[in-house]
Amino acid sequence: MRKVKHTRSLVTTLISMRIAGGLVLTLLCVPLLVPGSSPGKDWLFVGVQFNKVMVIDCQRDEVVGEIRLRHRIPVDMIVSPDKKYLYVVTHQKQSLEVVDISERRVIDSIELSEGQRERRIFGLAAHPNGRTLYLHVKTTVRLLDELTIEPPRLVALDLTTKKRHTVTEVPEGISRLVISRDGQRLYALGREVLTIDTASEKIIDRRPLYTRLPDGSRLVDVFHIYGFEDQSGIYSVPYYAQAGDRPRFGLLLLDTVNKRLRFVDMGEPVLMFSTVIAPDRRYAYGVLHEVVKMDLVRRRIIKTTPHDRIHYTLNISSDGQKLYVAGAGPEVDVFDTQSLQLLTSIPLPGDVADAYLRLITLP
Amino acid sequence: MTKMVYRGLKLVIVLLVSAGVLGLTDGRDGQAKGPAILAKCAVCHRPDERGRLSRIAFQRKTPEGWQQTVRRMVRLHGLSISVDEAKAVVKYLSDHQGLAPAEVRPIAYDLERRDIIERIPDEAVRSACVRCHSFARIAAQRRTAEEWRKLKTFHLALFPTLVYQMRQIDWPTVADRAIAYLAEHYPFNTEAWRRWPKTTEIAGRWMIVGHQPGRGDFFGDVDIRSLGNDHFETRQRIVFVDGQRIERTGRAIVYAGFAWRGSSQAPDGPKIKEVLHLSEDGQMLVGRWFQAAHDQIGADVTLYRKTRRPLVLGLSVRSLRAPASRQRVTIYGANFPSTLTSDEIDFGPGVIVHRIENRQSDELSIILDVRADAPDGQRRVRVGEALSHAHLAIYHRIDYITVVPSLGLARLGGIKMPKQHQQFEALAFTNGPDGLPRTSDDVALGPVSAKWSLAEDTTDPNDDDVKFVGTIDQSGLFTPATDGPNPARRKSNNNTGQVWVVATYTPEGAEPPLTARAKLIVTVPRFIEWEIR
Repeated sequence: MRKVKHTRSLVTTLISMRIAGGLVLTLLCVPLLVPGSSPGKDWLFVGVQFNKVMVIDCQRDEVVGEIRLRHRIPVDMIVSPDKKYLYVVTHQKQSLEVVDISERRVIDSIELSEGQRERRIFGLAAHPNGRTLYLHVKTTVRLLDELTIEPPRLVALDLTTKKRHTVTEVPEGISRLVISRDGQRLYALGREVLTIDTASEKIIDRRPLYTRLPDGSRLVDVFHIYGFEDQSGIYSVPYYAQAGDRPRFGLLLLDTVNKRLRFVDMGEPVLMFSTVIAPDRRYAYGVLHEVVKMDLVRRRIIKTTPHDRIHYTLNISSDGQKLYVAGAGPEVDVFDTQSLQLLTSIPLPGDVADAYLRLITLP
Repeated sequence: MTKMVYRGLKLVIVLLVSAGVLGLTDGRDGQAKGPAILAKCAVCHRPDERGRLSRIAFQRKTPEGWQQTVRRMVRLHGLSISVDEAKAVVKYLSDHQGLAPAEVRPIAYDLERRDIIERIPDEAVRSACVRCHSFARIAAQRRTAEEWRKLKTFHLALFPTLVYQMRQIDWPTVADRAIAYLAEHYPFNTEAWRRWPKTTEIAGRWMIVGHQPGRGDFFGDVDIRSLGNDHFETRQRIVFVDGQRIERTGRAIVYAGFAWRGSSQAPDGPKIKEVLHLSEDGQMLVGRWFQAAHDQIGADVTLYRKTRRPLVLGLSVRSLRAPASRQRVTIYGANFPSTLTSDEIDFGPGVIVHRIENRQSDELSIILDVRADAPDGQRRVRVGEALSHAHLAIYHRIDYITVVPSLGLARLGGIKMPKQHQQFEALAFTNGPDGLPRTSDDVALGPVSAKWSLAEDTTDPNDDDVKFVGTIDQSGLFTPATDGPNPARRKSNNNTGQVWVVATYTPEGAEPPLTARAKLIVTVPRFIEWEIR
C-alpha cells in the first residue's frame, strides 16, 4: 500500500515537474513585449575615457560617431523610454548629462552637488512616463573640520521642471536601480532587493540577499554593477553561493515584465563579472576571463571560450546574434553567440572605464 | 565676489579665534591647546571653551600617524604648509599626543617596515578594517569614543564605494562593532601615556648589535650628539663578522622621548632609515634599519647605552661544531680590560680557550677548542664579570634547515614603481635531546650559507610563474621582475605568481644535502605608499 502510494506520489511529482518545466520553458521562450524585440537597426553607445560616448553602428561594427560630454569620465548611462535621450552620469558621479541621441550632443546637464554637499549618483532608472528619473543619491557633507554623510536616498527627478524630491531613504549598499516595464515598481539592488511602489513611493518589499537561497545554498557574493535588461527585459547578475562545503554560482534574474525575482543555480563556480540575458530569454552570457554561454532552462554552462583580455561587461544585439564585450581596455570585442568566436574588435579612443554598454534599436 | 569677501572674513575670524589660544600652554592632560605651531590647523579645527582644537585634541598617534594626517590635510583639504612647518606640527603632536612605549611596542613592526602576518584580536575589526589596512595602522591610534565613531563616518563620506567593495558584509553594522571594540581597547586616555615622562636623555655613546638577513651579524658603536630640541647627529661605526667595516653619519629626531626616527649614510652607500624605540628603562634602543629606497632590505638592530662597565655584545659565530680545534672566534663588546687573561673568558662546558690572539677594548680574538663531549645546546659567554647578550650554540650535527620567512611577499617594479624585494635566510638546527626535528628542544644554530633556487608552486595545469616572477641570488635575495603587462605571458599577464624558494645546504661531511623551502608570492606594486600601511 505504502509502495503504491509512493509510486503514485512519484508519478504525480514527475507530471507536476513536467508541467512546471514546460510552463517555465514556455514562459521563458514566449517573445515578450520588450524593446529589443522590435525591428530596426542596432546602435551601441559606449562611454570612454575621458569625456566621450562613442556611437557604434552594429551592422558595420564600426565607430560612426562620438558625443563629447561636459564633464570627465562617464560612469553610468541609461536610455530614455522613447530612445531619444541618453542620461549619462559624469563628474565623479556628481553630474547627470542629457544627450540627444539624434543630434549626438549634450543638451543639458544637472549638477547635483551644491555648497558643502557632494551628491553622487549610484544607480538610476527612467520611468516609462518619460518625465521621471529615479536616482540613488549618496551625500557627503564637508564641514569645516569633519566629513560626514546624509542617509542614502532614492530621489525622483522631474526632467521637465528639474525639481527633485526624496522618494525614500535606503540602507547603505544600493548600487543599481531597475524599474519594471510598466513603471509600477522600482527595484533598488544592494545587499537586499528593495521593491518600491512608484505610485505611493513606499518600500513595499525587502528581500535580503546574503541569506539562504531557495535551493538551500547560502549566498556569499553578488555585485549589482552591470547587467542590462534592455533586450530581454530581465536584469541579471552572477551570484556566488556556498552549499555546505560546495561552492556554487548562479544568476539572479529580475524580470522587469513579470516583476519576478529568481535564482538560477548554474553549478560549479566560474568567475564572471557580469551577465546578460538573450532576447529569447533562453540563454545567458557572462564574461570576465572567458566568454561563457549558459542555458537557463537546463541550468548549466553550455559553452565557454577563452579570451586573451579581461572584460567586465557585455550586451547583446536585438536579434541575439552578437555579443558586445568591453570594459577596462580601449576596445569593444564582438562575439558570435552561436560559436562564441571573436568576430571583430572595435577600437576606441580611450579606455572603457565603467562599461555601460547601451544598445538601442532604432527604426 | 561677495562670497570671496565672506570667505576671507571667515578666515580672519577663525585666525583671530585661534590666535586667542596661541599663548596657552599644554595642560597636564596632554591635549593640544593650540600653540602657535598649530595655527594652520586651527583655521579649520576650532578651539573649544578649554582651548582644545576640534578633532585634533581628541586623538593620539605615532609620528608616522600624524605625518599621514598632515599629508591628507594637504592632499584632500587644501592645507598649505611648508615642509618645515609640517615637521614642526608632527613633532609637536607626536610629543604631546603621541603613544607611550608600551602602546607602540605591539605595532612597532609596521613602523619598522616588517611584512608579517598580523594577529587580529577582534573579528569585527578584521572584517571592517583589516581587509584594507594593516591592523597596526588602526592600533597605532588612540581616540575618544566619539572620534572612533567619526572615523566610521569619515570612511563612508570619503569612500562612498567602500560598501560595494565590502559588499559581502554589512559594513556599517560590522564597523559599529569594530568601533565599539576600538573605543574600549584603544581609548584616548591611558595610564601608559599619562605616566610616560616624554623626555629622556639619549645623547652619548651607544653600542650596536645587529643582524642583516642575507648578510650576517654586525657590531659597532654610535656617537649621538644633541643638536637641541630632540634633534641629533650621529656617527656610527659597524663591522660585519666577515670583516667589512662601514662608517655612517646621520641625523635623527626623537619623538615623545623615545621614538627615534633617523637616517644615515656611508659615503658610497644607500640611504638608511632608522626606526628605533627606547626601552622604558632608557638603556636600549631597539628596532630596524632599512634602505630608504627598498625598505625590505634591512637589519634588526639593538643599541645598548655604553657605560664604564665591560659589555659583551656577541660573537663572530652563532654556533660551533664539536669536536673542533684551534677555532678563531671574535668577541665583540666594550670596555674589555687590557689585563684580561684567557682564564677569565668562559664559553661553558667542553670549550677550552687557549689564548687571546688579539686584544682591543671592543674586540677580542680568541683561539679555542671544542671537545667532543661538549654538550649540545645554547650557552652565554662570560668575559670577566660581563655576560654576553647573545647565545652561542654547540652542536655535533646539523639535522635540518628551515627558510625564513616561510611565506614571502615581493612586488613587481622597476618601471612605474620601485621593486619590492624579499630576503630569505636559511637557518640550521640540531634535533636536541629528544632526537626529533621541529620540537621545542631543538637547538637553533643560526644562519647558514645555502644555495638558492626557485621552483614552481603548481596551482594550475599550465602554471609557468617561475619563468617570469624574477630571480634569487646566492644571498637569498629575491629580485622581482618588472611591473606591467608582459606580452610574453598568456593574456599579457603581469609577472605575478606563486613559487617556491628552495634552499640547499650541505653541512661539512654530510650527505645528501639538506633542503628546505618557503612560499613566495610575487604580486603587483604597492601603488599608494603610506607611512603606516
